[in-house]
Amino acid sequence: MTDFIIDQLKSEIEGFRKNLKAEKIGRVIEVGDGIARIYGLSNAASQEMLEFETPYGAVHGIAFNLEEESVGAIILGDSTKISEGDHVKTTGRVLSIRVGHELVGRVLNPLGVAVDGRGPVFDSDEDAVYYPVERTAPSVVEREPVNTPIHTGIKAIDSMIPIGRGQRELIIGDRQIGKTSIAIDTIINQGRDPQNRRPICIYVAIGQKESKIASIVAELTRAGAMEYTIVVSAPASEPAPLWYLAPYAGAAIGEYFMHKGEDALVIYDDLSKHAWSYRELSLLLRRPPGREAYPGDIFYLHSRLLERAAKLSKEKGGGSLTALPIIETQLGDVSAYIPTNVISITDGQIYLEPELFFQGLRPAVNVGLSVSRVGSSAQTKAMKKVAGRLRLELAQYRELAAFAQFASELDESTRKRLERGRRLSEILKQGEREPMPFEHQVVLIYAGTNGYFDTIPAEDVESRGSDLLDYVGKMYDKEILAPLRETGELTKEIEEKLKAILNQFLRI
Amino acid sequence: MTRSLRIYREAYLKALENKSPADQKRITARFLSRLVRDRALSKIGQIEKGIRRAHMKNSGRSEIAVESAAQLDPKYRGELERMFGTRALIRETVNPDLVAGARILVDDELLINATGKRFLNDMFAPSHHL
Repeated sequence: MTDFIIDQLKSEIEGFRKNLKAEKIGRVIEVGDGIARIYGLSNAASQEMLEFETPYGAVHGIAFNLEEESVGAIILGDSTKISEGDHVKTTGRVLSIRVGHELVGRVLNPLGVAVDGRGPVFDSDEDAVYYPVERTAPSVVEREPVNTPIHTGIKAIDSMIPIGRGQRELIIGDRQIGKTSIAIDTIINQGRDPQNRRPICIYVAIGQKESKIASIVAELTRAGAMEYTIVVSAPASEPAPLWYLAPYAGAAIGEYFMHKGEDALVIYDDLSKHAWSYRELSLLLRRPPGREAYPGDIFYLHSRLLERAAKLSKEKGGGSLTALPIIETQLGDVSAYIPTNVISITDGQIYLEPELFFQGLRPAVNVGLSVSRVGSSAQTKAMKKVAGRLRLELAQYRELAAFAQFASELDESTRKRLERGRRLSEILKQGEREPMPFEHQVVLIYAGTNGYFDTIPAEDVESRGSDLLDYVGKMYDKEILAPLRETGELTKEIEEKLKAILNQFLRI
Repeated sequence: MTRSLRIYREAYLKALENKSPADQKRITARFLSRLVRDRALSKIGQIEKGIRRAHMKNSGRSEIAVESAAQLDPKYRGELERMFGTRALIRETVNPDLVAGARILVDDELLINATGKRFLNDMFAPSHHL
């Protein structure tokens, strides 16, 4: 062994002169707040990795601003090690992250280094695959339309705002209103899919408290979801450059699985903080501020990230990358700069409303303002059949409920509509961490929209609904639930059986 | 209003052209007060470096900084002078941290690093793409 090491060293030393080359270098003229200004480096390219030579070893950065006589760079390591006058050289590479199936179940920082205390992610350097953090989105010819659903397990979403694999669906709402919960429930619900169809989930935490990230990881572990989940963590304690990089690193990991023909789901929690980090970096680099002090290219920041979500064509392997970005609004203002940008980039949004949340309607999805632009083509036939009238009935209920507050007497049909609406709202209520299988959702919504709950008091609908599911699950799993699960269709035969069961169970 | 370093440097060098030493002193004083007015006095170090570099370039000379692990052998010094010409301004420093060999910095832009330190750093550099 010792001889081998000596031989290796000898051959390295013998080859030393061959590696000698002249390099263009720059000098640090200013450093602080996670950024550095470098004099020289006239050959640096935008987004190129830079290497700072410090007395404590190399520190890396990314060239961000190419100016007349200097380069503005973001620092990815410990910026306190860098001092004025240090040499900087270009590397000829863009930032890349090592990817592989070994990442599943791990918590990483945006540079791909494990931060869960379980040691290095990869055992050896053989067959290492690196993915660039920034990559051009797949072109039109490489894509195909969204055609497979991704079930969130949340009744209100799967029935009225369906999401397809490869879609970008925004989750938007004020703070503390259940945005992250929807994302976590969606991850947990993916465990119901058979292993070959189960997407790899990537949860990207941007600027969150470390305690919150730890509790999310604990919940995912408890639910067995870490078996197919990767967490990319850029907590509040990390500097802005790492917040900025985190979603791109998450997208790169997702792309690896997509290119292998698998499905991936990436959650960016949240892009408001991502925009803040980019604003901070841009202002420190003295880029001209625009609206709300964001730089002019803030739209491109998010559009180039979200465009990487795609459903690839069969020729390209048929993999998909679904993106669920989260945006936090201030006092429900969806017309602010970043929310409107991301709304216009994504294929729809799930809008969570504080009023509904405080009324106890949870998840507090505002059906009127929420939309899925491409998901309906991916919705399963059974769900499409039963939920077709749901959105309309709920919209009518909300409208009538507003008018009914002022009217003393109501005609029979209005009263019935209000009663039905109340019951449908009750059906859509769902607790945290209780994602519901798709076939159960179909049974409940079928019963609701066809008036089987109309005779039951509204306050009992939730408990009677769960009793019904228990009953159907125990007695009719083979006849009703299994075929729904396997075929995704509500055939005439199943419908007749379901009607009989509902008559028998709910009308006694 | 702060201008780019190049504008300050070129304006200053142009103003100094064919002026007597007394005038040059007055121009320098006015230039410094201009920097104060523009709140650009913090850039004086960079401007000075730029001026020195431009001056060396205009006079056809180059500045060579040689940093070696041990005192440079006179034989190698002669070799350096032959390589860069007699008009090159060669400055030598000794830095034992370099372990072995020397590194040569030409005009503060081009680095030829032939040190043991670099060799060891390359050998033990982490394999990840950072």
